[in-house]
Amino acid sequence: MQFNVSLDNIRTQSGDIGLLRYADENTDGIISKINAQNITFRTFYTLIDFIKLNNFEHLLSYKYRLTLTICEQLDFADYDNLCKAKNIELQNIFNWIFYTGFLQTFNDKKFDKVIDFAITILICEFEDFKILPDVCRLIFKRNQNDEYTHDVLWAFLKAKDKRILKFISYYLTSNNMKDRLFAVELLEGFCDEDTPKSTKEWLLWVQDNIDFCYQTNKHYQYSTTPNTLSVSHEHKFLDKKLNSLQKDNILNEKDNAFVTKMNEFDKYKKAEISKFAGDMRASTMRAKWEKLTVDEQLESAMKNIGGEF
Amino acid sequence: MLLINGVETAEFLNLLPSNSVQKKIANQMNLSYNEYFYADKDLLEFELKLRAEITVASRKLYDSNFSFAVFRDVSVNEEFWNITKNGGMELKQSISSFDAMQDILKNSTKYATECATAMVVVYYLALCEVYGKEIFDKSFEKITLMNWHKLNYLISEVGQMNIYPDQLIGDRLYFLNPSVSPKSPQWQGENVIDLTGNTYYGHGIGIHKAEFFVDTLNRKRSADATESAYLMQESGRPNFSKLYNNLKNNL
Repeated sequence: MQFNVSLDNIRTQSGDIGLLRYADENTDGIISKINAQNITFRTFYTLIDFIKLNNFEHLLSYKYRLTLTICEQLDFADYDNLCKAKNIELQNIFNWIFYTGFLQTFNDKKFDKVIDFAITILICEFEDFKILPDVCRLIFKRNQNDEYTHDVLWAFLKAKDKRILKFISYYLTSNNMKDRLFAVELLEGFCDEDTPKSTKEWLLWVQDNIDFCYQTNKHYQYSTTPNTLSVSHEHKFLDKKLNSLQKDNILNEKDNAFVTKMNEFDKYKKAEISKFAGDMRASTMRAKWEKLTVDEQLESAMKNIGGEF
Repeated sequence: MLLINGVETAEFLNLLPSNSVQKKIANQMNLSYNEYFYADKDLLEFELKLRAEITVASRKLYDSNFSFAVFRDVSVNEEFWNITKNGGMELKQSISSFDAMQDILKNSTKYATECATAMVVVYYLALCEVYGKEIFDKSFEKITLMNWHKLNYLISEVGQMNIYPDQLIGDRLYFLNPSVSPKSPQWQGENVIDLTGNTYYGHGIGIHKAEFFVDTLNRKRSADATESAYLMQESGRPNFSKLYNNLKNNL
């Protein structure tokens, strides 16, 4: 057996059957080759049944042994402890599974299940948000093909990173109509006011609201259009930016008195009021607006949007 | 308080069979501090009947072998349904939607899905009883079952949750599990049908009181979770007028 033959190359050139034939013909050295090469998760996944059939599990390196365990039983024995300890080896394995698997296809729904599990754990347990643009890409790719997005979308929207709004909004200008419609469908759930009518208006909406969005824990299991993210109109009115899609406790006593007043209004009125404040800050009236007390600002907003106060 | 145009409420209530689900619902309305006004007695009767059938369908589904499965593992009787790539159940062409819905009860061992889709099944089964085969088939020529997506226009409102003055028997409620473990996102919450005012049906958990649902969901939280699952204030319900008018127009 030639040691410098790449298993990934064999699979990409000869397909899964070609790779399995090669493994069968080179049983003696195949595990050394797997351990020595940084093969893709897709290639490793193809070889799992071969490895098990030959009882080679114990010969695999730690990385591949743990991967095998993950593929066999997503919720394995040491999982909670390793996650709690933010075990870097486990994180690296999930990263490897994701990056070398997420754009691949395999005629086995369990393959996608492992990819989705890796995404969920990276986002929710390791808070590894660098994967988010690629996760968004995967979601839109699957949506284009009407494929399974439930778990991966849930994980994506659980990320405590406000850039998820930006990643979604990139698809507002996609050449693919399904992408554009899906991006609007997602964003509509976050919007309390009259929904923007054009791509330009949506992009402005994201820009105006991204710093004031927080997670609600509601998802598509709950309703047709869940407000998975919601705008904190109180924070927006006061221009107090939220850091991580959570309603941080950044309001002082005076602000809380204002929140009590705001709670007298429904969400649509709140949206109008906070939009007015945002518009004032973005206008040439900014300096004048900021000299007003919060009560005066609220009074001014109510007068200008035509409401009683 | 229940108010019916041209009808004495007490007289109406007396005509309802005692201990019937319909009477319990009418009593809920009548004992409420909020006003339930019906300009048309027939519409009220339709709503009471449909709400009662929603509870009956829930119990039938619970008594069947209809299983719980995440979208990836959905199963159907392929004589009536196709499974879509994203885990939905799609009625096959030229198949009676009424027969396909009844088959979920008849051949329940062949079916498995998650809790939101099961709620949609409950609504359709209830409408089978209220409409009958001919009108049901005519009203729902195409059906796709996949959580709150792809809902037929006639029942589109069941996918929306709103705060109503009261939660009534037959409403769809939701237990939210904010600290769910990422290992099992399917337990992010549980859709339930309010069966009696304090007993609920949720697919995959069963028929129990609220505490049981909360305890079950709490066991599916992250190891370091501090926030408990809870019953939300919002409810989902069909647009009874729309469904009633559809029935009238098809009689």
